[in-house]
Amino acid sequence: MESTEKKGMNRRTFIKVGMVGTATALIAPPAFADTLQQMAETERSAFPKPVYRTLGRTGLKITVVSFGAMLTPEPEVIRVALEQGVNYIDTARRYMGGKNEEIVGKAIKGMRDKVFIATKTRPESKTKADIFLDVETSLKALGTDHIDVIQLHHVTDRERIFYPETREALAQLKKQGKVRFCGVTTHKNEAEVLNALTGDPDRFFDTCLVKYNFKSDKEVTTAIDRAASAGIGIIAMKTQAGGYDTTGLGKISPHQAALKWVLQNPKVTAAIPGMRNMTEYREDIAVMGMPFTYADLRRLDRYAEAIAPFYCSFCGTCETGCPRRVEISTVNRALMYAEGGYRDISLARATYAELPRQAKAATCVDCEGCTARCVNGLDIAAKMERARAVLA
Amino acid sequence: MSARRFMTYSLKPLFLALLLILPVPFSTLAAVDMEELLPPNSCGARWKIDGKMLFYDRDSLSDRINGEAELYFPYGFDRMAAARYTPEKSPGAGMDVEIYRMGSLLDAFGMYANYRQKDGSQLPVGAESNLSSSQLFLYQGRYFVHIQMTGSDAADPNALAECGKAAASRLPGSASRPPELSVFDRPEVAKATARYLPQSLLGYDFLNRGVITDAIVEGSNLQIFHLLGTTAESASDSFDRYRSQCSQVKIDSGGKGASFLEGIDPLYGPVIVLRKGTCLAGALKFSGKKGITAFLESLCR
Repeated sequence: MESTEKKGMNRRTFIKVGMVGTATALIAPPAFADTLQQMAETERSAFPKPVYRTLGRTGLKITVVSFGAMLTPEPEVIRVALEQGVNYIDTARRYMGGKNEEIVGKAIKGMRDKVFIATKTRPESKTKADIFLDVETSLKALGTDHIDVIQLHHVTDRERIFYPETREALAQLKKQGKVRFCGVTTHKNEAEVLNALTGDPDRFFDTCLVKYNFKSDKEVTTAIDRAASAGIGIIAMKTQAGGYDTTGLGKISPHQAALKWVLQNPKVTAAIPGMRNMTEYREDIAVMGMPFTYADLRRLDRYAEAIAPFYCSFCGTCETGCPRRVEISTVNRALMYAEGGYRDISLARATYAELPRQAKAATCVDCEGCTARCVNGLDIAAKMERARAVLA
Repeated sequence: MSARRFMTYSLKPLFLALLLILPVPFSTLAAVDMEELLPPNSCGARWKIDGKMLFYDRDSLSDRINGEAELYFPYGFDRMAAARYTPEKSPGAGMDVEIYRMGSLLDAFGMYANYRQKDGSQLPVGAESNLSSSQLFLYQGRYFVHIQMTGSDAADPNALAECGKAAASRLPGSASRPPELSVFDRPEVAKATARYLPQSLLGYDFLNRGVITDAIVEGSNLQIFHLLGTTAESASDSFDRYRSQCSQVKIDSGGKGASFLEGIDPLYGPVIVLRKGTCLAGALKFSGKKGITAFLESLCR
């Protein structure tokens, strides 16, 4: 399967989609926009036939859309997924101070043999004592006698992968039958971590839960390819690039397209989107078996295009062109809090209020014309005018 | 006092103070604002600050707590200050203190309730607190505090309690619970079980913002939920949408514009829901129905 090149859209732009609402329709030619609106509506279906892929050398066959439990307060929502065939749940010792594992424990009660459980040690745990304590506490919270995949949480460099005491502890836990497989999670320096796993002569870790989405660098895709070829099971997280606020989107939802984009890569075994409620669950789970289509590609492309006139990446380059030294990027960030996916006017005003008086957009009214230029073509004068209206 | 002496001794220090403050950017003042919430030198007698205080906002919170940051955003997370405290004689041990500024008192409570451990004990610290062997959670005003012990000395509840008191004493805001919880101040409701969800109550996105708690009504264990911030229109809309989720639905008039719904929820089984004016409340996970409608009516009174 062809790998799709990186889309011109990052985490913030994705969150900010709410800001433009159905602006796509205004920007695109009308006929195309109509078609796009129709095809962009979330595809709904009854629970699809589960699609499984093998999680690298663990041999576990898991559903390609599995369950990220972190954001799910009600075990009943997880339970529905299990009853409908989802068979892999990801949680962590740290989430909710360990309480998230208890929620998962309630969800899997009586169904332990139908589900694989992945959890994580605390990010700061390195010593034998820490690892043992984490695993024992997780087992108790989950109400089980074994964890299928125990993961080192939030690995950012190769050093932690080779830390001897951690490995000794994990090896001992495997021998005791308390954990079956070991993995790591990474959402920073992902390529370095993946490459370290691939190059490990001991092949100690079997899986990697990695941040991967349409925004990921090509080197991450390459590292995933190498790791998967070496037998490491790849699970994708943050597949929505961190954003899930659909306020103002109307019928357009890019979430399924974003999830499909990840799963089109056959080197990725599964994704674990966080699902807070039944609506998100239905939307995500429906993706199983759906191909990534040209329409999805266009959907992601169009979103990037749609938000371009509105979106500030806060690079600050424009500020060098402002003789009054207005902090344009911070003003735009405050505006984003008010009008973007956050929709938080109090946060917006608090952010704006923290600026020194001369750095606020009010300073612009003394200028005859705006000399600041945005490298992405943003109309800065218009943004400052908007900020004065909304935030003053 | 002459005018000249008044200028010298009273106003001059004020001018000097103003001169010192004015050049400081407001963003720095905001950081100082959070910095002052952390105990500056030690958190409890033995535990000295180790390294710098760290500050996070919405853009950077995930750098510290990974994707868990997304749990905080619906609760109006604004800023977080963190510091590590270590004991002199136990290398490797540490106590991480994190103070989160949330959107409101109710939001701070919501985060606290998310983390509250069932077998934790309460301390007279903050509005409420929950202490286990290696963690302490508390909230006060709009601040949620998480203290975590790590390292080989990871179980020292006394040190946690001492540090919690030191941190709470620096927090602004009164040590009172959110007034929204007062509806549950009744003997049927189990203590320390209420949770506040700013969205997706019961796992349904149309049940926005509400509180859910355990209760015992007429000997039957159950859960009670109560929507917050509803208008008559939104309560009616949520009621209708909930009805469409349920099977075997029976609607009874409760009189004076009230409606009772009895049905089978696909996630929870039998449910009873009352809509009355702006109030929407319900019961689920019950073994017997006796007394439930009266209890819901009392909630919506």
